[in-house]
Amino acid sequence: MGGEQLKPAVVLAGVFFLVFLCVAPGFVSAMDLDEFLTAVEAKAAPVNSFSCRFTQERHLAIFAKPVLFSGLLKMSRPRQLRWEFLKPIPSVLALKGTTGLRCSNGRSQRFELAADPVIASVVEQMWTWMDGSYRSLPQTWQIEYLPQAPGIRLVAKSAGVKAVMQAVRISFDRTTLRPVEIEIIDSGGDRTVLAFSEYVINPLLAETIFSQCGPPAQ
Amino acid sequence: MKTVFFRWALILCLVAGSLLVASRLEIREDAIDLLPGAAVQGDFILLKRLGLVNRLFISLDATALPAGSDPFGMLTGSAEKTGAILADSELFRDVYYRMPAGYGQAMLDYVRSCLPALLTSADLAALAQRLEGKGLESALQEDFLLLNSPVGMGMKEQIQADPLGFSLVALKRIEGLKGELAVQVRDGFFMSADGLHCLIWAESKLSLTDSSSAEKVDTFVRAALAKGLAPGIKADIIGSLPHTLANSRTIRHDLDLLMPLAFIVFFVLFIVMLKDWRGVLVIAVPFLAGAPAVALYSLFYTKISAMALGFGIALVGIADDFSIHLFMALSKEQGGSKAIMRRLAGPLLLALVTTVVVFVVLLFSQVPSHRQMAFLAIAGIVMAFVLSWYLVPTLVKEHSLVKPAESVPELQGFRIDKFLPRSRLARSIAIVAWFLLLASGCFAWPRLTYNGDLKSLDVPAAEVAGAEKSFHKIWGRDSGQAFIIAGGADLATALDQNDKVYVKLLAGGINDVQSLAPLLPGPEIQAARISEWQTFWRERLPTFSGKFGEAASVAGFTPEAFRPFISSLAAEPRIIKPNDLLNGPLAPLVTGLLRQSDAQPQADGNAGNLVVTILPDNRQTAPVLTSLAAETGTGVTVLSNSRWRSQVEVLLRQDLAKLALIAGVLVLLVSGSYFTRPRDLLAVLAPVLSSFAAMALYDYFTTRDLNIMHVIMGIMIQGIAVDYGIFMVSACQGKGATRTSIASISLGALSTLTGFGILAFAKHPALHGLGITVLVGIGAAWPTALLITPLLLRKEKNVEVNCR
Repeated sequence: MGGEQLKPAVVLAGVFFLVFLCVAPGFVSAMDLDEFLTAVEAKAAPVNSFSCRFTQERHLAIFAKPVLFSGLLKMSRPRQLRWEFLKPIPSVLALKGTTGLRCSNGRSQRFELAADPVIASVVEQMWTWMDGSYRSLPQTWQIEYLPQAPGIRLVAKSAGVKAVMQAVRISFDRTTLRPVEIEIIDSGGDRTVLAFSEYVINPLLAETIFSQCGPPAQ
Repeated sequence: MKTVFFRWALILCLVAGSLLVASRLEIREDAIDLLPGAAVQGDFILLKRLGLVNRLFISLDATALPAGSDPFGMLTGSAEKTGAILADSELFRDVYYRMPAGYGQAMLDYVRSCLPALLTSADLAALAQRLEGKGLESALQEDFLLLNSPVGMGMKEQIQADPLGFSLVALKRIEGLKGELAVQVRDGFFMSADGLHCLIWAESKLSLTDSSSAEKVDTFVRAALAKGLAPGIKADIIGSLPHTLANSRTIRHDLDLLMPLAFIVFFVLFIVMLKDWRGVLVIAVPFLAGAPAVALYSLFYTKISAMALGFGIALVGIADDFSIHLFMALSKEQGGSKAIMRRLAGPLLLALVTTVVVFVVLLFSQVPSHRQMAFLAIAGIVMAFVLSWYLVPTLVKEHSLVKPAESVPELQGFRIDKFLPRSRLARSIAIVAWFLLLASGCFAWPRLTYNGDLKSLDVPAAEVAGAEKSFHKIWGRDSGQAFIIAGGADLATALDQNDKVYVKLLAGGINDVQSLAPLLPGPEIQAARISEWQTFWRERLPTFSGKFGEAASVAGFTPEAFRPFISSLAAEPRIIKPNDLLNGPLAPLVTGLLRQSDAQPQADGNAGNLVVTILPDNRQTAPVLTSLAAETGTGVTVLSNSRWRSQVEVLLRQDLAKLALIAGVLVLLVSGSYFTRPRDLLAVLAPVLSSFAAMALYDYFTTRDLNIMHVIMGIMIQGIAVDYGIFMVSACQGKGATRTSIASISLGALSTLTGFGILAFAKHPALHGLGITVLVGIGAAWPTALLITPLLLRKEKNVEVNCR
């Protein structure tokens, strides 16, 4: 896969991998990196769905000022996701299998992943991560274990990935051992900070939320 | 004894020499030899050049995998391995099993960099709405949201370069390029909508309509599948390959089973009827003529269709009538050999001429294989006649010649036909029954339809049909397709023509089109669009950049955010060159629709540059296709499956109907020139009339369809049946063999029924059609010659032999 096409895929893959780490409890600071990844994968395996709140702070050079969004993230196996911004501009991105839905400003737009190779590639990568194939991560990333944070730092290894993203840092809550903050550093120095809270593991999620814009989330 | 040895040695030397000369002939199995007319053959060549004839699809199937397995992974793994093996092989070109790496981004980059040449006037008019007011605000707000959404996180540069989504307008039209099959590209692989099938396709370098090449390709593909498929994954092969294999294997099976049987029956028949082992050589004599006939053919032509060669030599077999008559007469008739041969010369020569005349007519067929077959049959039959005349006397025992040549034949009062009904009533009943047969034939003939569809001769293999049905269901190619081919002396001309075709299709309301025009317009269209783009922005850019900056600021972007976009609007537009696409990651979308000049110029003046448009072949598209097909001098050829099939059907029908009629008239004229009295002529032609009536009745009570095999063999039977009439009438009138006529005619008929008629038991439709026609036609002509022909003759007072 060429570097250009990796751009969105790498970003999303990184984001969702890290988000998925949130739902893997049992973080033990005394572990080394390998033990840590093994534990994460083992803990992630029984997770079929989760929901959490998040805030997203985007520091892009092309934005006049940092942009703060907040919302809800819901994911369910297989291949279902709802990324919903509640503030300041409500919008929804829902994915179910090979079909996607974007909702904003009262309008909705369905799309087939097959019709958009870039998004299809992004989502394809995303599902790979969701399916728990974390061991493929070191091929494109160098992972550093940060026991004192506690946290981990991912550093892009390949030129293709570096062209998009330099590094990702994850901080974990000392009490719950769940990540509370993910910082993504883009190649151009742009930065995105995602903060997650109020996780619910294996909640009952209606199928319709992955294929419809409404109802508005609480 | 010396003479005998000399004669056989001479002929065997001739045969050996002929085989040597004939060995330089190239035998080929090409479907083009079976097609009528230059136009239809030209269409077939075009299809072949476009890779559509030799293309094969492999549909991988994961439906049988156990629950809990990973169909996507196993399918793509299988496609990757199998595809790589095919791609590495010398047997294939253009093997597609996944899109090249980076094709998605490459597509976007391509479209964005070529926008001035890709956007139409209508596109620009639509885009103008996005350049100000609400349209502009809305587009930028969408960008802002997208950049903050997960799918937009990696799209910063794309949005910076094209914030108003100009590329998407062009991209939407390009989606049609994937429209031939209902594939969904997942991770670069061609998946079905249900995710349980994956597609590979490739073009064979060897002809897949040639049975030996098809076997070679099939063996390789099966081995590749055995190595490449994951356990539990099945594969179906679709295309001309399975049809060729099913046909050739069925024919081989039929011949392996039926030919030994025919030879045994032949052998027993001749030994029993001739009561002489040398009788076996009697049937060998005509076949010795096969080699000189092929050698003669090779002096004029360098190639021959395998079908024509096989049929042509088999047709030479009908010349065994000559050797049988000679042998029987020389063995059993009274008188010296010279006198017997003198008596036989007239009827035998007449039989030769009527048979040859039938095949001479076929020389004017529009179908190459018919002409080749006719050439071989004529040369072979004439040669068989000569060889029979030369060699058969050497096979006759000396003591069987009853009397010296000058003795008077003892024929007075000899009833040639002991089987004839003696009573007047019985004879009347026979005649009435015969007329009833003819009347029934006349009733049936107009009710038969001619089925010129060559598919009707295709072996109906259940496995092939099942795989095709499944393929259509999965990949959505259930309706026929039409191909519009734009040709040109150079690629630029072909692309310009292709643009015109595309415009006409859109004007005709046809949007479901797979065309290169939206992705790769010709120079004319490119120049016009670039000029329009420049005018468009020259007028708008000064005010637009200010408005755009303000709107971007309101949406939350910095003033510098979209500098790349604004710069691109004033940049020198890029002209698209075909090789940019053909050598890039988008090649799989393009190569199937374009062929550059790697072949000889076509007869219509177009060089080898071809650009094809594919669309459904249905009622909706029919008017536009008809209109495009009617235009001449445009370099555009319309190939629609249904239209083409009907054109082949009409041409074959006209060709064969015309030739059959001419053959009939010629047989009538030749026979009439010898048998001048109408009643004699009717008696001569009675077997022919019976055979036609019987064939018509048989078809009427079975399929009511006449196919090409029925017609060709019908023409051949005409030539054989009239010979029976000639021999019988000649005998009755004391002009030829008398004592041996019935036995000779019967042995000739039985040998034809054995050789050809046994094919009625073949499974292959073409062989079955051939066999059944002979079985019914000769089956009717033979008894007619023996029982009816004598009854139709006037009783002659001064003739020594009389059948009545």
